Amino acid sequence: MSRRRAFLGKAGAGVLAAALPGIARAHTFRVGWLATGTAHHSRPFFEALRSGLADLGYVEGRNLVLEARWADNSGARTQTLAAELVAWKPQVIVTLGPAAFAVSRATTTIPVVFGFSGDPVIAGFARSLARPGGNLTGMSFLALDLVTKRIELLKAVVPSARRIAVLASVQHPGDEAERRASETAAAALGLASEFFNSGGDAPLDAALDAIGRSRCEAAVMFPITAIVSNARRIAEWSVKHRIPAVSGWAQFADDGNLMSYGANLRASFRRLAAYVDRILRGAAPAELPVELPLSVELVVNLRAATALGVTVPHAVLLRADRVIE
Amino acid sequence: MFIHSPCPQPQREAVAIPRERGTDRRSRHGGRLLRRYALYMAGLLSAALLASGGIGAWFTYRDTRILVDELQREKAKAAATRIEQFIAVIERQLRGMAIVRHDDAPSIHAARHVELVKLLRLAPAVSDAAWIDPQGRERVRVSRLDPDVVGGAADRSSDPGFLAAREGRTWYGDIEFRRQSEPHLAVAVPGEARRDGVAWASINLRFVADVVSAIRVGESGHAYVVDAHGRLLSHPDAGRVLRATSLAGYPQVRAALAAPAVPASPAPTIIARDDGGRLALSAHAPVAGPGWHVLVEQPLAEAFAALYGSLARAALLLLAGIAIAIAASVALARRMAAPIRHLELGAQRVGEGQLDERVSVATGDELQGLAEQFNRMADRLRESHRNLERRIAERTRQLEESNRDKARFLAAASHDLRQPVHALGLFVAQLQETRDAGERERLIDKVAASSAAVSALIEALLDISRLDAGAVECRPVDFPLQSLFDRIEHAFAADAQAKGLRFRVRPTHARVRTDPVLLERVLLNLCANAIRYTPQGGAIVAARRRAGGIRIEVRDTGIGIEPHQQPRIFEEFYQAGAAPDGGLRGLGLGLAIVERLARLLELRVELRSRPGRGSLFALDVPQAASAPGALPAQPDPVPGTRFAGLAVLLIDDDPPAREATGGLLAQWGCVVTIAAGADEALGRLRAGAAAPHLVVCDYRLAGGERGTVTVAAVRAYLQQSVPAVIVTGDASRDLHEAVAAAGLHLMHKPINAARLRALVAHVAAGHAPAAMPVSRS
Repeated sequence: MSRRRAFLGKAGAGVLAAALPGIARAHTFRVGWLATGTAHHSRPFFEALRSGLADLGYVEGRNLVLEARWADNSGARTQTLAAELVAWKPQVIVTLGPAAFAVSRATTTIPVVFGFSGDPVIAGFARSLARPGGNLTGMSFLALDLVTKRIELLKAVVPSARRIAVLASVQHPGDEAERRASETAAAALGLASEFFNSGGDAPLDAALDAIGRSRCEAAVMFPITAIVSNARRIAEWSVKHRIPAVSGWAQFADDGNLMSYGANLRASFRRLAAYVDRILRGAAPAELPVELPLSVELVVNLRAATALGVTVPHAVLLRADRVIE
Repeated sequence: MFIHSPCPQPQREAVAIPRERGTDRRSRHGGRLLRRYALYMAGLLSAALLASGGIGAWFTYRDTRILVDELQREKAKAAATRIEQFIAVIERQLRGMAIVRHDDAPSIHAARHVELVKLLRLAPAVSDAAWIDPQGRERVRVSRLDPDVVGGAADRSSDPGFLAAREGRTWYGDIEFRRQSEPHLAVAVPGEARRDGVAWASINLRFVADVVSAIRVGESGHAYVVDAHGRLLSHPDAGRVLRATSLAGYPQVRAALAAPAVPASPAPTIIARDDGGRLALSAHAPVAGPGWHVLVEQPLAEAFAALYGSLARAALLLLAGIAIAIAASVALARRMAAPIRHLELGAQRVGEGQLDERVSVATGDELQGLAEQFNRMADRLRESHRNLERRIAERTRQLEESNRDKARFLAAASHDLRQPVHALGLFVAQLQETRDAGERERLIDKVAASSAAVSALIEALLDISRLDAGAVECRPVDFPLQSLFDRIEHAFAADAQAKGLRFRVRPTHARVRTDPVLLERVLLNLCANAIRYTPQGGAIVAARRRAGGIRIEVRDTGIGIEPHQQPRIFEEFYQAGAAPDGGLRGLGLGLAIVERLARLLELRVELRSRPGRGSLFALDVPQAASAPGALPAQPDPVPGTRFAGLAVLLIDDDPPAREATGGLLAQWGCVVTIAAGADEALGRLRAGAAAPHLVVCDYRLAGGERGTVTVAAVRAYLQQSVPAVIVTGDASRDLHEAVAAAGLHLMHKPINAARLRALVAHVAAGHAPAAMPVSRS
């Protein structure tokens, strides 16, 4: 009798398991999160990922454990946290920003899904966009491709500008390429450019001061965590020095700067949840192509424009996906 | 003397069939019939069900397949339409942008730029757009990534898109995979008029994925798009597209590429392996314009789920049907076999001797008829069985009666024999003691009379025995009755005269057809009785014609027979009354012999008698067919004739018998040679004994020697068929026939001296001896 009951129990469990969707098995997945910036700054993207995972049936406390780590823009801390996460042995690690470098150094086996501003091929994460070939895949936010467009938009708003500042944080392979691309783009638009580095030992404030002292009439700032997470300070600096600034993440404009033109990060991180899902289902990251963001959004802050004393032309406003008034 | 014979009972045991064997056979056959019936019926019904189920399943399959195919094609068409619409919307927007007309050259470029920017806003899929003036210069260009161009003059005049659009038709370029990953389609659209120039755009086809992903095909089916080279353009799994996969090797893709642009008939669906390696049902539809193809695939298990379901239902129903058919067949077979089992059981019981067994089958068909027939048969069987029992009882009773008769007959015969034998003994004793010659003469006469009486009695008994044994044959011939009458008159004339009676035989010319010897014996017996029981007056024998025959009458004026005795006078040893002269009593066998002979001759003996007045015995004899001239009657040999010199060979192993016979023959003057058997006889002949004119041979000789063989040996020695007579006490028919077959004559013991003398006389006269001995009582 008891054996029979045990069998029925087992059979019942089997039926139940078969009835539920594949991912809803009793198995609990472990997913790590590592962002280079602060929790405050990066949380919206983390939430976007979590929401994307929830849509796919991964719910924390039921079948998912999400371990989130925030490096607060410290390179050393990023490295430590990466090692920590790898030691935890999650099925997937999702990274935001340059943290991908730290994680890729920490493991070559645990799949990594990155949201990365730069070119992952140049960064060494993937052999090609179509076939990454390693344990990393994810999305590239077109940092390089959009640099020209940002300068063009900046020029449209500040038509008098002859010289622009390019602020970046040269720390990793690929940063140099971005700098060169910026100079080329500026030159193509008939502008002189001056490069400022906020990375490494050079703090942001010093770079900003340097720009303020220069003859640059506008600034293009790279959409990197180190910069975007200080968007509010930059906005204050921008108004004070009457130097309009443009960057890549919507948050930049939201925090009081003139414009942002770049990938929709929230949408992108929602999209990255699908990568996590595919990998948890057994797909190899090497075979998952790196995607480019489908939507590129232009956010224009008219209040900032007013404060800066610039007029945003009609053609730019037409393009804007969002206008802050 | 009583012969005990157990009453023969019908032996039931022998008739009865052993029960076990019968039961065994019943179970063997009964089960087989039921099984066969059930098997036949179940097989037939199942075959019919299977056939109808199979045909039904085939039609279901065909109809469902048509429906599924149609559905799949519709899905493909719908997907194609949606993609066409997606492109058409962009086309319309492009065309609208191209129709912007201002005279002022610089401002028209600005205006066009604004229009293009609007286009980017409206159409997220457009990544780049441009306006090319009628001369082929790219005047305005917008891009999501690259810098915009306003008022440029890049030469696009040799661009195939520009050239095609200038001809007034929309142009679709080849697919370009940007960064070897993102598929883009270039489109060139002409404006309304030539001066409107050409609008050009590059469309990011990843947006088509939204369209394709939105197409649901069942649970796990999907749609995808390939270009004219079979390259994957759009797939719900964006990664596959980004890997720039070519599906040109897939059979379903090959079929889609080979299909004509405007299919004459609905494109057939194809069953092929999908990306996952599963068999899938694939339909395709062309996308008008860019020359793409939409393929819609659904795993076979899912596409045909309804079909499999209905087939499974049909199979289930079929199984249920077959189960019902088998059950019904078994039930029906039981119903059909039950009456047959009934019949079989009934037949078995009847076979075991239970003749009262009846079968009741009320099926109202042939089986019931069969059961009724069977019952009738059992009735008849029982009836005939009862008849048989009745007849056996009857026969038993008859046998018992016959045994009683025999016992009575034997008692009477032994009593009648004992009387003369006893007298004989007394006479012989007196003879030994008497010296007086006269007295001795008288005693010798008495001894001779007693001896004659014994001999006559035995002769009569033998006659009855022979007649009862069927040893006497009736050989009817045509003959003149007068010859027979002459012998009768001759035989009884002396006796009648001695008694002082008148004995007359009325002459006749009648010819009759019957056995003369047997008829003579009948008449001899009747006349002997007439003389015996007539004290005075006389007796007369006469023949008179009657219709269809001759009536022979023997009439006397004797004592007559009481009416109550008349039916019994033909029984053996029955004597109606004492002979009037006391001493000369009959044996009581004469009329019994007459009755038997008459039966053998198929004649009826009629008796009319009145006590004290006389009796009349009448026989109706058939008349002879024709009446040729009467042959002269053969005169009987005269008694007392001497046969001087006639050589007779007498063979008998019994010394008293051969001495008596030999002495008699010697008295008649014959030269008698006596032998005990064949060897002695031949020895004597070789030793110079006279060659015999007649052989008289006993049948049973010492050492198992048979008289017939002995005579044959003698005849062989003499080399001639000398007349021979076999003497025997055996009355069997077999012997009779064996003797006749050997061409011999037969005389029964004890030998009647008169008959022997007649035979010898016959031989002496050069004739064969007379055929049949006649009993004289």
